[in-house]
Amino acid sequence: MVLTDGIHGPALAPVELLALNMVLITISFFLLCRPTHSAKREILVLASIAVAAAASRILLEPLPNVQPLTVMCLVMGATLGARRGMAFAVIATMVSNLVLSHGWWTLFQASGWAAVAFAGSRLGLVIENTVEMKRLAITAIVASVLFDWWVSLSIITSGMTISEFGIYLLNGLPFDALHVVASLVSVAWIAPWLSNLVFEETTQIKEPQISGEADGISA
Amino acid sequence: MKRSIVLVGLLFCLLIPPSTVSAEESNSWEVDLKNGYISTKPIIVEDQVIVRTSGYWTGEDRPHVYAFDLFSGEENWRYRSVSSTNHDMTPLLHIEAGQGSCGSWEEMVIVAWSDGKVTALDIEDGSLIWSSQTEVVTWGITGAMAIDGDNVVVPTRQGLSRFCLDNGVENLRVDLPELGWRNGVTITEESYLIGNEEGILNIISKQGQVSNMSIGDGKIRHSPIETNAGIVIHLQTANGSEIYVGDDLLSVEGYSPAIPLKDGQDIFLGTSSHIIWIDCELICTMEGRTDHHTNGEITKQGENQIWFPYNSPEGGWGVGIPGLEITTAHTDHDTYTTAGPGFGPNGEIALGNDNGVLMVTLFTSEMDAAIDDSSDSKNLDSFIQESLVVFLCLAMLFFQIKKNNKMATKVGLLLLLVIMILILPDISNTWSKEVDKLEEPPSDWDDSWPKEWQGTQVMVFELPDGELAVGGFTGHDTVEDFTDAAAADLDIAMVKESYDFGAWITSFNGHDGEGWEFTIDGKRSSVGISEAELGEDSVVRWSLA
Repeated sequence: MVLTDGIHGPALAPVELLALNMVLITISFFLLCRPTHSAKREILVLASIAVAAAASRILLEPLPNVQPLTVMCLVMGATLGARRGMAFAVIATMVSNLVLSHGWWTLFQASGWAAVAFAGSRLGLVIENTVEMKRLAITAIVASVLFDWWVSLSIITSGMTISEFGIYLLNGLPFDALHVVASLVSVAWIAPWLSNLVFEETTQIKEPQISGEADGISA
Repeated sequence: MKRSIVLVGLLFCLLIPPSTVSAEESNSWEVDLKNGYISTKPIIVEDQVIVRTSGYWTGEDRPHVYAFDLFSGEENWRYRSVSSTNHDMTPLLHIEAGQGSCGSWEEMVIVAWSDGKVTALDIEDGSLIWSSQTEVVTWGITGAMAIDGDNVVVPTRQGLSRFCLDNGVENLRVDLPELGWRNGVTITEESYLIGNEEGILNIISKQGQVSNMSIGDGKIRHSPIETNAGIVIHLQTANGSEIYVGDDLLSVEGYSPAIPLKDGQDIFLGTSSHIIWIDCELICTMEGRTDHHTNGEITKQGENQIWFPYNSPEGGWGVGIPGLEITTAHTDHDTYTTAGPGFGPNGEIALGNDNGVLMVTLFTSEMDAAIDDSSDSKNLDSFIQESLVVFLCLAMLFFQIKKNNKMATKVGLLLLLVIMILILPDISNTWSKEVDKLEEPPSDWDDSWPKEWQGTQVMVFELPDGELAVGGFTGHDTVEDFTDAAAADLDIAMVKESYDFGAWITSFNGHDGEGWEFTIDGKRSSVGISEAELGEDSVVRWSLA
């Protein structure tokens, strides 16, 4: 089925969409271009994984609310830190929504996954390249539900009452449950592998690169 | 032990039937669009059924054009109008791919909207090919369009526009002084014919010169009909309707004329009282008449079957020739109906009604073969789904036996996800129905109103110069009835017009704006004022659209 016009919330005018894009790109730029240490390769790795995450979102689009990006954000936040993790979340959301559909809701999705990545960076989900599976699973469950509810805020219009919004959230519970299970599957199947991948790549970056002769300093 | 219980539980889930389309293993299917009325006939193009919805729209609700697979009933695409908020009465127009002096174009569907837009949609995926804007005077386009070579000719609210099929560029524009409603355009060799709400027939040359003739004191709400005997007009009048040939009165008829059908030199017409057959081979003569109530689109099937939608609560379609035998076709969803049926080349029929239910029936052996193919495809999908679940169950069992708990857990979670995806449509539907029960009926009570009004019917007019409210009424069954009484009580001058979908209020105290809309207890009604029913404590609120 092709839905040629989304119904996720208010339709944005071209200028408003441009403003939204500018905000998201600026956030990504600042998150990436003010690193604590210079690492072009790290940014390249992060961008590659973000594109892969966006592709996975697009591929899984026919499956309702199956969102591996939630767990990926947790892991990226836990392994690369808050700044990089949030940049990953914003980039992956923007890239995937260019294909899926872009609009007002992108702001909520990007900020929601950025918040998930931030939480991932603060909860000790990956310690010395070991994923704390139980802690990650519990976090993923909570994050999935909270993320869905946060994104649901995008449909609020001026005429909507709190009880109507509550009914909307209640209607979405089966989909929240599916998001939770999909996140648990992602925890089991993707998280250790992703964590390991990021660890290996960033370890290579952090090791000193020696070229030419090294002079020893004797005491 | 725990895992074994989980495994047994998951296997039980296999017994839950997957979500099905009602067409499965059947030669018919239906879908409730839950999106207003179907007021114009669905069209069948190759293996698609395309249908549009109409209604009064508020909030986020808007009309759609839908395309469904003819054989399976699965939705292929939909297109949502962002800005059309009034009844969309213009029939869909299918255009074959072609080329002409103004360019070339792909196969498409042209849709005209009550917000004045004309949109060309790709027939494959519903994507927008081009869009053009015409004028809006409360309403936009409501009449039938027509094709003239490489152009589409559009009857606009107050004139006529012609657009190139290639790119939607307007290459002829004629402004007319009178407004039109459902005033389709007819193309003759030399000119375009178009009527209006003042009973005037405009004859517009293809270069844009306008001449006209007054038919009578009434409204022309269909495409004028060119016959050997002259132009036939079924004029809607204050006391019913009149059939004219040229400016000669042929017959006086009942209320609310239907959209007539021309078949050779035979013309089929209808009103709220009769269906009528006239023959205009040399002069127009009355050939037959049968009691019936039709106000919508009259359509032809095959050689000699004419379908007349029955616009009453009983619904259905009268089928046959007026004056001869008329049988009635019924469905499980009969209700008020104005949309004509859409017919396919192999006997397929697509029916739509005012409840927004689309019903498609396939008949022939070729269709049976197609149904088999469709059914085979569904069976294959079902087989793949069940095989995947069984495979995952076996894989989980295998890892369990091998005491590889980690892999067993991983596969088990995957299995749970697959099962949840399969049963989600059913679970979601059931859950949604339960949640709907929690929804409190809306209320539109204002605490500043007198307490004596509580438990009675209250009417609110949100006029531009201030809100007027009156309460304490009882016994009014419909919004129309109650509005008449309340307006009289408050000494509000009201202008009401009658259309084929019911009465329509155009102004209160001279304020017409973009039209008036009403809510009952704060909620928009899905039917017009003549049918919208009231409770003994309903609050009706009128506001400018």
